[in-house]
Amino acid sequence: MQLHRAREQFEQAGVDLVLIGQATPRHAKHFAKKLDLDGETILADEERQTYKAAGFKKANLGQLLGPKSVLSGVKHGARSGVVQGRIVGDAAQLGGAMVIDTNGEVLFRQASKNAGDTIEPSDLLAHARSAA
Amino acid sequence: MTGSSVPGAMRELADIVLPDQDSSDVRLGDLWAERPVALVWLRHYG
Repeated sequence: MQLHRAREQFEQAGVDLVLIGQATPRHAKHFAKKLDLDGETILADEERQTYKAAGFKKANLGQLLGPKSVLSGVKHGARSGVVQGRIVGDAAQLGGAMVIDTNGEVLFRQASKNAGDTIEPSDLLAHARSAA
Repeated sequence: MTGSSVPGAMRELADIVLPDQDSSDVRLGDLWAERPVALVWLRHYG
């Protein structure tokens, strides 16, 4: 299951899915068109304010280019069919995910450990279902 | 940051305003005001 294709399942679970990237609105719009994400909310955090506030770290060289990172990335690419394009923003910035309830409580948080470490959409959906 | 959370960090996160893909401002805290939200921070777009 691809994250961008899982939106319907998140909606059925009563949870909104929002993507945040470290680039401009123009880049976000291009990304939305490229992956046919009509109706999806994609936020542009060029200054990475939310990455810092959420405690997501920057990778060191090993976490960017080490064997774990490369292998994770290759596996993810093979499963998703999505090939990494040019990185806009800080290439060392790692991402993550959170599920937040209506009280503002973080029910789930995942911080990427290396460049290839991304949460499986099915795992995120399982945590999201517990929030609704 | 899960469970009982770090209130200060969540307040900071909630008050951040970002533009969306249509350049409309979105306050993060408004995203979970009515419904739970799954936020995904990408390393890069695409």
